[in-house]
Amino acid sequence: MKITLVYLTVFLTGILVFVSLISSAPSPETVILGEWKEMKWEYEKVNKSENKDYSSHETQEQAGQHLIIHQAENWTFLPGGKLKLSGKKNDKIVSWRIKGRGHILELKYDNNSKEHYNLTRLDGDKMVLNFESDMQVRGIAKLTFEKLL
Amino acid sequence: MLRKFSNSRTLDDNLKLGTLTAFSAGMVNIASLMIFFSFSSNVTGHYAILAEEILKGNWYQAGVVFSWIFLFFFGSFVSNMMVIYLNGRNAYFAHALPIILEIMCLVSVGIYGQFFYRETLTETEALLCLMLFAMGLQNGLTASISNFAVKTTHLTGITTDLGILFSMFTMKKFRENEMLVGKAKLLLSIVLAYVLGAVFSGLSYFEIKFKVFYVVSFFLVLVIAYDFSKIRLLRYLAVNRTKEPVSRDPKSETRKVRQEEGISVV
Repeated sequence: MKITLVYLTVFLTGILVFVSLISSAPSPETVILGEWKEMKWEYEKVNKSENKDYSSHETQEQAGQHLIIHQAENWTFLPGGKLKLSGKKNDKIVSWRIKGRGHILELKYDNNSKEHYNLTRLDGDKMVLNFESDMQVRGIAKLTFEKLL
Repeated sequence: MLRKFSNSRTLDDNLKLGTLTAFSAGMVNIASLMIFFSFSSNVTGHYAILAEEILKGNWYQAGVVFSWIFLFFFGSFVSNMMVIYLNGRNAYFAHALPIILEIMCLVSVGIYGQFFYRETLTETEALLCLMLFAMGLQNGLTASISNFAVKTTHLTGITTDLGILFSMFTMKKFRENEMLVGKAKLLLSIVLAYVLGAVFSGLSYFEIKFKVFYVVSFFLVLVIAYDFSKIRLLRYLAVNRTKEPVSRDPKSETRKVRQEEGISVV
């Protein structure tokens, strides 16, 4: 009887910890909703001895040249999994999903191609995305956003 | 594969169980990584991620990772409960039950993924929960019935053991030790089966998507069916033997077969 109580207490504590953790913070799917402005693109080289440093604009031009997000300035995450990418010239609508434990942002385009970004930081006012890229040297590109709405 | 328990198991029993279940675990792990971007057959990385999420103050993510670790633990707990509480009545049933539960979990993931999955985060996390529970069940079972010789869902311990064994094999006396050589064969087979399963899963995922979980379940059915067929064969042989006119004690024959089947004999 005593051992049953001990086991029940342990399992109930586990469930309690889970429920309190989950309910103490909103889901990334909720936090990401709204309009985000691209602030800067950075590039971190795998080989630090490479002597070229890239400006935010150069990074965007090179690391993002094959990506649809390349010319976007504002990203608006809409409920229902739609993302509006607003640029100087035109707007695009793509689909978004969050995967894993809430650390992967998946963008899906009309032709069913997908791009995946690591959601390194996501809170009420700032979002940081990382993705691997081969510019002239291998490295990680980093996009920083600030929330507008 | 499943009938025998602990020290009564032979190397051959462990080899069959180890390779088939490691192949399944490799398949599940890569499928979950490709579909859900998270591992499901090992929890070492999840412990590190849990610590990282706590440090960052990402409480939601910490909760999710905590639940995955907890379900892997719970799977192993349930599995061993079945073994120790039901082993006395029917060893085969006690050992097959966790695999049946595992198959049910994996088939559920396959069916849900194929027909209902809308790719929301809640669904992703819940399906990963099921897969981690399934892997906990499998690892708990194989470790429990093999006296901790067979663990098939992660390779950290196995790689460590192989490193130790291969360093021992630099000495002749250890190379000639059949038990150690047998252990090395078992561990290498598990590693190879796991990697093959992972590659097979990765390749087949592009073609069959969520149906890959039916393929994993098929391999697990093989584990259950192999022993079931052996039991049927043994029963058939026992019945035929008792029909023979030679004076034999049918009770002792039945007792022998029941012992081979892993059913307790009073």
